[in-house]
Amino acid sequence: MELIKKKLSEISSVYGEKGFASAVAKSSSLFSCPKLLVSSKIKNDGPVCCLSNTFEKNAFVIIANSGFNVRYIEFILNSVIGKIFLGINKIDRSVNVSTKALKDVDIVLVSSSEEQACVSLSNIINLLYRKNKDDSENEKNLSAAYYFLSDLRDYIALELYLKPLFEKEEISILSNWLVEYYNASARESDSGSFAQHLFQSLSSSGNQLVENMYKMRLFISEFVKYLGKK
Amino acid sequence: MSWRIDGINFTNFKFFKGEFDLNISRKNVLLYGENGSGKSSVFWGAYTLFQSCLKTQKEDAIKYFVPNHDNNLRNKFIDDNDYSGLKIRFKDENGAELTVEDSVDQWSVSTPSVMQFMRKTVQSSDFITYKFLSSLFDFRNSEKNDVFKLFSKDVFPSLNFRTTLIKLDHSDTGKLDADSWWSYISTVYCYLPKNKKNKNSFNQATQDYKDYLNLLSEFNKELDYALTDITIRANKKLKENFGIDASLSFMYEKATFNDRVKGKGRSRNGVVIPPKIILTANMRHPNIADNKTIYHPQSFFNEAKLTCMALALRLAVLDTRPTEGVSYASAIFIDDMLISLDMGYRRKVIQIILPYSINRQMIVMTHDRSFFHLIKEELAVKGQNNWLFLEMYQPEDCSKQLPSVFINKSYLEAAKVYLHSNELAACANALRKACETELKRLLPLNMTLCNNYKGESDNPFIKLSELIRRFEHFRALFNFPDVVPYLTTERKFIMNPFSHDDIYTPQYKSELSLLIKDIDVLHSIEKRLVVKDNWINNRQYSFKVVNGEYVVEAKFRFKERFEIVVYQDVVYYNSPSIVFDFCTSEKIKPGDSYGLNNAFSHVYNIVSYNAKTHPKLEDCMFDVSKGQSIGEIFVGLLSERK
Repeated sequence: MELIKKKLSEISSVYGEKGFASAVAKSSSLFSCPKLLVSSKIKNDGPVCCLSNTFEKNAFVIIANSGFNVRYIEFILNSVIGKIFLGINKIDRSVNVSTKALKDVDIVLVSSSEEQACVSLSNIINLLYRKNKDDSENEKNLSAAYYFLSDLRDYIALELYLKPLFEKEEISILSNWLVEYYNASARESDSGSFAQHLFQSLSSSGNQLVENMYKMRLFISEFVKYLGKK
Repeated sequence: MSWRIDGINFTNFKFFKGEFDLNISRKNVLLYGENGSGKSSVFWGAYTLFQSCLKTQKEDAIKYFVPNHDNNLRNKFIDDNDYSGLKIRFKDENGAELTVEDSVDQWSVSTPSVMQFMRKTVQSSDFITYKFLSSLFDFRNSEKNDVFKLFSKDVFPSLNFRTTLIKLDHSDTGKLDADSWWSYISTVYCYLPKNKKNKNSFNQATQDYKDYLNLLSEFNKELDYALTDITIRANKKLKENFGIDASLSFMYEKATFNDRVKGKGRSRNGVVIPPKIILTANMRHPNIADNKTIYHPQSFFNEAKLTCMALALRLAVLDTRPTEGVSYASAIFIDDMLISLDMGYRRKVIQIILPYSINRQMIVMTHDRSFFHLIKEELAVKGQNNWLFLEMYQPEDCSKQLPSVFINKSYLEAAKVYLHSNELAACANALRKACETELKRLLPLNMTLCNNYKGESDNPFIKLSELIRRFEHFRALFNFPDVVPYLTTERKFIMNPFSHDDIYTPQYKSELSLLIKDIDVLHSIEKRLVVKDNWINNRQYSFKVVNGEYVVEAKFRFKERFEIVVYQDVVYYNSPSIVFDFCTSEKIKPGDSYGLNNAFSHVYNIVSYNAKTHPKLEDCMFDVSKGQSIGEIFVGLLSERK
């Protein structure tokens, strides 16, 4: 099936610091609506953007058009794909973001169930990121879970963009994640215990999702290189 | 689709003088090897070949086969001009083949497609020995359990980072393993630019220096992450699989480079200090306050628990190895992993490790016969039939240094192995069982059962002496030649080893050899069913016998099974009852019943054939529903056999 991609600028409004200020001047409701803040300088390890109701200096602002989920955009931009589109690679580990680069990021459009699964993963990662900073006692386990799920996000994002390559190698991480996600979310109501249960399940020997993730390590360099060339 | 090892070829490598081909046909392998049989050379041969695929320079990869090279692994008894090398043959499910060779003449990995395949295969495979298990807690009570050295040797080659090693020249090595990372990091710093004024110190302002620090930081981050990952997995295994309420943890002290020297102002040490990986344990126990850390687990836990901990850790590393895929193979080689465990734990561990063979090819080697049988037993219980059981013994001809390899799968094969190892009584016992098995296979079920069999609690089968007697009757039914004329005598004098006062006489060994030949003959006789049970009385057959102007045609059904026996490509058949539905000859009426052979004798007689001129029965007889002659059906059954 053909991938449907749209430029970020086609599905959202992207503002620079000044642009956002003048947009708010015209329509004050923009200030309080859900928006993504993108740092002007991004690093290889760490989030590119975060969802916020406020505004910070030196940041770009993304507001999704009606019908598009700003949290899904967050998922893509924070993944390895988003970072590659914005110029990060194995040599340039931190770059200054330009409005043009941001507007030109290709966003692949997916089914609503896939979108929901991606957003849920993104939420867990954000939760772990925050907890990791606050909870020094469990720092090691939390940071392992954070990195693990960040890898999972990267692999899923790669799968969304490079479906034929994944199919050729008969690897599907997204379908595994859908199973894990629905299993775990059906049992747990709050996101904290959901994350804990999920990580427990993923630590078990023979878990299909995890096995596919370890498999993916063999290809990630090739896949990322392929994406970089495209 | 998945790739698997189909065979490994060793030529003049370590133990093997000459060529030794280990054909494993894509199966999992359980290999018993007695001491001095070359079992370890199989393990290290595969390891050497796999590791050579990670080398970037041909000289590094082929050094094991270069005469007089310090690292050479050539057989010590060959000449310098003799070829020495390793080949490994991979096959996928569709029969596509890939052979990878490492020798002075050929280094297959120099071809990019082979390199891609092998790099992934190596990064997905694993080699596990008992050494790791026995060394993990091998520390004095006075020292910290820093397992870095052990890990860098035994675990790093099997520990994949999440990202490939990018060299300082920005080239991507494609290597994920911690071993490649550390080998590079611990050597390349020597080539970093130095200060112009002070040639002993590094120029910290250069990009290379900064890149190196970044690389080292990446290494520390990845190793710390990998250790955390395997600790979580190992502790889960300890609790859930081994039932041990303790946990392991690592304290990771980062590797450093060019640190300031204490008390010497601004001077720096100019070297890389390896990381420290301090292994500790915690135990949840009412008498241990606050889950207190145990800094010297070796002084606290008993040997079995320590082994389980080491095993849990090593299996956690194995968990992180990718399973087999469509563009590479994944193989696990395990050599004598459990020698220090008692029987109770062994069974448990076998149950833990066997599931790894579901989506990886597993090659388990042992010199311990009881362990070999324990795994075999467990596999039988699990009904796993994709395993090959091999036994390796010391060479009969010591000058050749090539082991004898047997496939262990039947009583007959076992008897051959016992004979080879001079276990003569065991050989005779196995032959008795083999003889019974073969006769029961050949005889119809009703001929193998006791006449007075009463029910489930009794053994329904007749004894060997009666089986042999009934085999004579069976032979007559099929008009089958007497290919084992001495079976009765052999039963009396050989297949009961306790009838011999001196069972180790050469005479007895040669008798056993002859009996093995006889059982081999029985084993080579094949039986095929032409008319199955549900075709009896149902399916219609026909025949047409023509001799010039005389023609007889008929239709009939079988009242009994029609079986054939094949020996040395000659088909023999019995004479089941048939009942006629129709016949063009008035001499045979519908409803008439004959034995098959008698029916045909009668018809041959009607059309004036004699014993010398009549055609073969199978060429005149047809399966109406299949539209095939019985002769063609025989051919089909024979080709099935091949």
